[in-house]
Amino acid sequence: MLRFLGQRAAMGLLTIFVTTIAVTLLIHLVPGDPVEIMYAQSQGTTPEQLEAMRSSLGLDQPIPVQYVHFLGRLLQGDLGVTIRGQQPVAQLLMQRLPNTLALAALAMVIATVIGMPLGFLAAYKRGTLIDGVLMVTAIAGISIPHFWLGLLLLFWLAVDLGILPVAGSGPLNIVLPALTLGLSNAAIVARMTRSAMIDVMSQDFIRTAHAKGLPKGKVLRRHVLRAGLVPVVTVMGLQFAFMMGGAIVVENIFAWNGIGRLALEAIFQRDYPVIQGFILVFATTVVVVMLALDAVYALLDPRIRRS
Amino acid sequence: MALVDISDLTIGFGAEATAPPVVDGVDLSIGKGEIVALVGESGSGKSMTALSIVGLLPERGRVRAGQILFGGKDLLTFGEAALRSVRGARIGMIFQEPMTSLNPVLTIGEQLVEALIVHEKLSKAESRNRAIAMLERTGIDNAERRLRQYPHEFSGGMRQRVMIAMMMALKPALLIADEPTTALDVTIQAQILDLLREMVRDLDTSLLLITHDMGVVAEMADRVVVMRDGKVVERGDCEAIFAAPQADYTRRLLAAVPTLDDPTRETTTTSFGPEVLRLEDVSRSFGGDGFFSRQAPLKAADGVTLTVREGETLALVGESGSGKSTLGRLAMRLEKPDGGRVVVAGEDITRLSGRGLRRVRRAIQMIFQDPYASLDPRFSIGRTIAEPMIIEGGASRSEVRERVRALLERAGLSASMAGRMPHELSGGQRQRVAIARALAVSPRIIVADEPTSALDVSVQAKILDLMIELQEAEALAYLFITHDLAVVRRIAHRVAVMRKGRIVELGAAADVLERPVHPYTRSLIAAAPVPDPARRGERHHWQPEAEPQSPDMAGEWCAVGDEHWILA
Repeated sequence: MLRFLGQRAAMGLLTIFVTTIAVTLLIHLVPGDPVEIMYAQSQGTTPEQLEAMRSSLGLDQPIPVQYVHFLGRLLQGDLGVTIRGQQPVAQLLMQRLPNTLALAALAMVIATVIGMPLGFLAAYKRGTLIDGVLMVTAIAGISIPHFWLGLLLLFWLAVDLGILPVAGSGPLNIVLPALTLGLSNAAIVARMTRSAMIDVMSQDFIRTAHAKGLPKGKVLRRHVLRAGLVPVVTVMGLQFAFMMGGAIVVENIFAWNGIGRLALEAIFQRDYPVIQGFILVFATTVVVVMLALDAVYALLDPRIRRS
Repeated sequence: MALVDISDLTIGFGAEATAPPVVDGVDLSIGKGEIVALVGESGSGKSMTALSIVGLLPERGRVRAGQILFGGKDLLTFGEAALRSVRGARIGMIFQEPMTSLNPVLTIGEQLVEALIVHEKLSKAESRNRAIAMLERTGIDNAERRLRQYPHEFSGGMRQRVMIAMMMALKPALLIADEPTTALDVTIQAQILDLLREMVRDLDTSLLLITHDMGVVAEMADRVVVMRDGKVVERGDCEAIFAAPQADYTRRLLAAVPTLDDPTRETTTTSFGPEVLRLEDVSRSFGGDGFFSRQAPLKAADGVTLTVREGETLALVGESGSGKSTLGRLAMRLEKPDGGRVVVAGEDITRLSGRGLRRVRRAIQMIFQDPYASLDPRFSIGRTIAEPMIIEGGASRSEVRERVRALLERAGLSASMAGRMPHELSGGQRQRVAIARALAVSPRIIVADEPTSALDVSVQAKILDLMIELQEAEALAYLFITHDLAVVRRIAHRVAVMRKGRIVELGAAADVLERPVHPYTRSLIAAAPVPDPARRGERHHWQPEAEPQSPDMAGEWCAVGDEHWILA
């Protein structure tokens, strides 16, 4: 199992390494000169100012040299400074990251708590009306965009009922964005759980369990659930990555101070160091969460745990 | 009174009006302590009959009529709860696939004790002790430690022992075994059959044995019931049925069973043409080369040297994991050897790739085991057969069409089948299509990997006949990979016995099968069930400790007869 996790960790490091290359190239992948685009809206910029910006970003050097510099600073935890305000990017991101993590984690809990039991129920009641209603709801849940669901919840719970704050940064403020993110992902989790459980229910070992005369509940709890969870957990990692992506939209709707909101602002302002930092932090978070879920997966599946 | 008395059992899928029954008015009785074999080919309804006894028919399967008396009570009138108290406790059931019949995420111990706790209300400790006792009884060493292990830590044969221990732990009155040894190697099969017989005799359990294998029937059964298309066509004592089958179908079934007493094919070493395939000291290992891997690599082929000549069948025999399929893939260059040379039709293809390899591949074609998976479901039969010719190029559309028709007829199908899709064909027909496809580019040699293992015996016999006929007409060479010695006898001129990546015995079919020298070959032949109840118990068992234990199986080739060698 340690070897399995070692392999996964190595893959994760490789992913982050590739991301650093992509991030360096990012600026050059945008057509046109990045610095000129940055200043396109401001009148009367002198060529000297452009040149100064170029050299302060290191853009006047060959790309490999830029990369080495970037990597060198990165290893010291330095992601550069923002173009507007000259604040250290790393510090800015680290301030906001906990907010996003809290949001994604709570949303994940909501998605799991709602999605898994419903998916299990749908699998158990496969082909019945309950299954049909649940799955149609799930498809609706997947299809509704975050911003629309978020607005609906906002009007209903905050404006009409007034039980939750509209926006801000108090402890209750996390509920609406987390609900928005969690509900649409609950639909995905429900569908995944359903298909994983149905798959397990048709396995030979479930027939064996029935042939032993075990009560139905026992077959479901001991045999179906334990075996069916393994594939569900594997996809949870991907799920979390989607959740982080969804957070960018949701944070902006609810003015939640996470890194998603920071990133969007930076994109509008072409604040390249922030965008680069955001991508790196985002990728690292996803890699770490995936690794954690791989560990859970290894614990659930004895074929890996005991290898 | 019989323990089980089934009368007029009729089972169907879906609505009565539209779907004909899969089991149609079956009568079957099983006496106390009796072993009854329910025999039939695929689709005969034998498994459905068995599953209906424990109320485990697949979804949409319904009993339409009849009754199943068990100890005087009709199981079909039982509710789910009542049926559950019978299942496991009074009637146990073991299945064909030991690899998938146990839950991979629960320990063997958890799976063994749960039924004991449910049915006999034993305490955890009591049920654990019973589980250990049962495991030991089925021949599993270190039972206490093994309780904590998971199914993937057991071999196929061991898992089937676990299944038997699990189902016999509650001392059921009836055990239903649905093809319990079909997925196992022949030496393991012999051990499991012995264990089953011993267990049911000791615990006075009746056994309903469902099988397609007449050899297993002859080894085990007191009485035999033969089914076909959902109906019972014959029933009687085991000896009587083998000695004088009454029904036409039973006669054909028995005639189709290849036996180890049939004569082998004629071999006169001079009658074959030039060499078409030569493997020279070929090796291939798997695993052990990864950055993180600490396991020793598995040697699937370890210095193998073989030749096949024009018009000759060389049968490659071995149990699962012996490396015989890998060797077939190496001959095709689907797998690249780590060492050695592969020579096809005089051309060294070891280093070839791309276009060069494609050109040589015309001379060597392959037929696979599973006729369901080896045809593209979206291609019509005609398209499937035409594909190799299209890739080869050079023929006009009408020429290709003409050739497809000819090939279909050669393979014993009608030319009008070209427009059909694979799912409209039976397993045997599909295998004929696979043969026609292999013949499309006029190969010199065909590598056939277990081509008849997925087929019913009667179909199997016809496919073998077809292959022999084609060989005689066109001087084709076959590298025929199989685990079934009876099939070997029917088709092989020469036999190579493979074990752990090495050839341990090689010689003419008659020599190897009738005068085997290597202990492993002997054990293989001894373990094969003989389809003759009068000779029951003549089998001698393969004792693992009798195996010459040189750790890496290093050895020298010794000639033990004319063109007959062993590794010693």
